[in-house]
Amino acid sequence: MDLRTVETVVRRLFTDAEFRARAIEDSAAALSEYRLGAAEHAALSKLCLQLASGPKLNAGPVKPMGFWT
Amino acid sequence: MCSEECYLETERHLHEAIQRAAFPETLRELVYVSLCQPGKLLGGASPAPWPSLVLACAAAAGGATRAGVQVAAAVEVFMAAADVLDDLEDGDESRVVAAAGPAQALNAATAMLVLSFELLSSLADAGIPHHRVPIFTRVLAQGSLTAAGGQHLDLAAGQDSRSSLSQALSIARTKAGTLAATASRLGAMTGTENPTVLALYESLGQKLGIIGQLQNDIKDAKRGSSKTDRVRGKNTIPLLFDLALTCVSCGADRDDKPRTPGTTEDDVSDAATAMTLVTIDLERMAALSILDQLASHGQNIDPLTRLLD
Repeated sequence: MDLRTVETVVRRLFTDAEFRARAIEDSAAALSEYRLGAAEHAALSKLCLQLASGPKLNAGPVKPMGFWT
Repeated sequence: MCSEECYLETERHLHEAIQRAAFPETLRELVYVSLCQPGKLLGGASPAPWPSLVLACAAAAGGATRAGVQVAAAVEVFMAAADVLDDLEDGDESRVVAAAGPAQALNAATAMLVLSFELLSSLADAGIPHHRVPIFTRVLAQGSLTAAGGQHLDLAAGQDSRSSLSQALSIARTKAGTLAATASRLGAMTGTENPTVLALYESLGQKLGIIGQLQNDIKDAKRGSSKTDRVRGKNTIPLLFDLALTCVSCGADRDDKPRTPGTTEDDVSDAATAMTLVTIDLERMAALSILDQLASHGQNIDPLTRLLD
């Protein structure tokens, strides 16, 4: 997994209002600017969907697996 | 997962092992301080994560309950020792250190590490053929050595401001991923000797370990956390992402930025949380793919699927 492209997309989603608006409107079209694997595409599409729910990120409950205290 | 009976049996194994060991009473008490912390089986965690992982893998692979619970007890005590060592090395709060100081805490952790190997070395009592018992201890030894290497890199990277997210993920894989991979493999070994299947269990455990570590990294990156990640400028994915984002916005090189985000008023950003959650999603998708492969090898993946709920 190469995180660099994912990192670039996430950073742009939070710093480029125009890109963020396009990604919320049509994530497939916005993400097509980047070379992403199927998993990366799915994970970023999910993030775009979450961003659509409001200005603040709704991360949802993170249920810790609890391996480490 | 496993029935309540399995957890009670694992608790019984832990108590017996601690009582059997030639410890002075004060050392025994210290071992119990470690094993009775929140999140531990003897601390009332339900389900306790490490025994759950081992028992789920044992059940999925068709292992005998007796062997599964003994391996679960060994892994629980090993991870409790690793927690004490990690807290000592990071300078984090630790109940064991608070109770007896760093020297006694270090000694208790050493005793627990050896106790975990002692539990594995008596697996023949739980029905594992004698010739296979050394394989269990070797797997734990090899996993420990790899994880120690990961911890070394983690501690060293804490001083390197040029670390990338990929490097941070690689360290999580080597350290947290290896520990969970080892626990997963040990559980599965009670039911199968198939190397292909065992490699899949190991990969699944690695993914679960990374997910757990990244979840912790989000929690520990927040202001007010009892952990020292922020103060030490630890190279976790959320903190590194925030550091890079700040550098881009102010035009500074990473090297020029203070490595103490805990001294600022900022909490971890939504962007950093998002980046970490996306990374968790990627690991989760990989784990689900491994579950499919395990199912195609005839493994009962129901108990494993619940680990990813």
